Amino acid sequence: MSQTTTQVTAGPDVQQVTSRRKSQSRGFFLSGFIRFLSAPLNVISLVVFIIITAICYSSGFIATNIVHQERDTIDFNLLTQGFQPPVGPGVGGHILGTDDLGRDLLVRVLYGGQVSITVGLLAAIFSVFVGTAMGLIAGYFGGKVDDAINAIVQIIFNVPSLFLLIILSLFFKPDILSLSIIIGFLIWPGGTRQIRGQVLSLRNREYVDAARVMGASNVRILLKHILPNVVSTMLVVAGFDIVGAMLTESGLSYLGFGISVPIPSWGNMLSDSQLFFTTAPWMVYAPAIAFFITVLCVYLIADGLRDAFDPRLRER
Amino acid sequence: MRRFIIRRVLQSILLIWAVMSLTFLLINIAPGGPDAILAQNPKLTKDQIAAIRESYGLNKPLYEQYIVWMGRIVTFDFGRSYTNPFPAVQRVFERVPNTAELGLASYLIGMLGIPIGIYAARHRGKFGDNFIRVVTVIGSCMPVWWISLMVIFILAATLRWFPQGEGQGGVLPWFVNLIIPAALLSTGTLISFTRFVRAETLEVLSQDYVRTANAKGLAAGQVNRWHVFRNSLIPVVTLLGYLLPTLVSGAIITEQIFQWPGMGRLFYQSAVSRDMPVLLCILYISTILTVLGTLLADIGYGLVDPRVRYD
Repeated sequence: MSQTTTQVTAGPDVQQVTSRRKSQSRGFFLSGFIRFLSAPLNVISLVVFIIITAICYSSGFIATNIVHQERDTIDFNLLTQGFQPPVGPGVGGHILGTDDLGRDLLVRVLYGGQVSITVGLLAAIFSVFVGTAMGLIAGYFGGKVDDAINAIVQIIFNVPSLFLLIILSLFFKPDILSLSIIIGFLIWPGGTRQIRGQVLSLRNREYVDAARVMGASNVRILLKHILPNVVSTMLVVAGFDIVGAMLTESGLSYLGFGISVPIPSWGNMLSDSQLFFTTAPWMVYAPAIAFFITVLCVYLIADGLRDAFDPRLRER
Repeated sequence: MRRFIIRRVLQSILLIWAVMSLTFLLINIAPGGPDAILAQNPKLTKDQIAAIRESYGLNKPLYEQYIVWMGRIVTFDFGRSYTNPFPAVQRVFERVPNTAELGLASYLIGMLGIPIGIYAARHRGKFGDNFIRVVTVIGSCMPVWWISLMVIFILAATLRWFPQGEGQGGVLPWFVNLIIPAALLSTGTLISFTRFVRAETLEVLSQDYVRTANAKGLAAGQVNRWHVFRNSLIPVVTLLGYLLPTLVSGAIITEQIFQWPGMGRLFYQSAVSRDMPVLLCILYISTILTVLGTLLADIGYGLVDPRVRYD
């Protein structure tokens, strides 16, 4: 609140200014979405991501009602029929084949997708929530509060995150929730930086002054007048956070410090399958392709949103 | 300028202290702290555990441990390794040259992103630019370890162009052994440089002074050399600093995949055996490196860009 420059002369125009700004901001939002949807690649990515997510989250239903296989059940019928797992796609009623223990690969890929996407989404939600709150507070109040939050941001930025993640995973036996929170905790400062920068330029706008003159509290100004203007940034940050979190999870799982078996995630499935690269390539391709397509879709969505909402980037 | 550097150095020291304090706190409040593994061993009697706790100073109150610990890490004294009679810091420093070699090589490869970025910007929207963009997007959506495994599979196992870890002595075997891990470790750096340089060059190309230079009839090569590159490469200096630490953290995975005997692999092995002194020593060194990278970035930016003012 160090730079409160209330302009009393703006009094009569306040109502008009606020209403005009409000409609303009809604227009900005809508036109941004229209720009986003007018690029075919963005629409394709969004649709594919929604489809993949929907299928992965109904993996339980698909497992029991359509494929008739369970996630952790070893198919002993294969052995009696003379097959040695891992069996290839289509053998013994397994659409994508089985893994080295004889568990249905399709069900595991779908369930693993649920785990990986959940980690990505939860970490991004946590990161965006904390990052936005911190960015709003730091940018709006400035001064000592800003300095304090900046110090925290600096500390977390300078933590070598993969090293700390591995050390922490030795203590916390990571499950989906704790892993998401830890990853989210390490990536929120990125969002804070961007949002703080925007709030710094927003807090001295006329409509914020106008709201203050009308006696609005700081909380109301932040939530009603400033927050709506940073929603587009939040969406973009969330998209890239999902990508980052999913890649981090896969890296941790590759090293064996991520989600642990028998719960499958795309990361640990890939890491388990690397020994079978030559003998059972389907074990590798199924999670690899699913992971790549999903991450690519989220990346393209985030990229598309950024282009649609950032007027400076639009010409590029 | 000198005051700025002094202030930034002091800030950096504070930052290292804060990161290490945070780590100490997280480790000690976490369930299953440093001594939990001892308690799980059925062969140890209570007295033996107490003696071990005594010798590692684990029986003192937390704040005392913290003060002692802080005093010791200033002098790089992390105590003995849990799994090995040598001091942790000695084991880590033995590995530093290997990691530095890999990191430097991959840093140099990563800098190829600068010419690639300039090329993409100058051919914006054409085939070359689109191709580079597609490759960078794909590269940033695939885990590096995954790309590495495929490359090993294709180049070493199938085509047998490169050794799978074997080979000693001589310049050529050394180079052949280094180039693939270094190239893969540089993926992230390469992509960052390419994107960043492309964006910066486009920014400069749209500036008025470039249009003026073109309008007054300067040859395209001269405009590029004297007006575009000199300005678009200024912010790259900051990136040089920021990307320094990513090489060390990326090294955990790359060194593990290629069995490279560096710091990252030691970190992995120590994590598996819960060798806390070694883990903390490596964390400490990489924290220093991270902070140093940021510091160099800030100071370097001030040196090359006269528009930056310090207050």
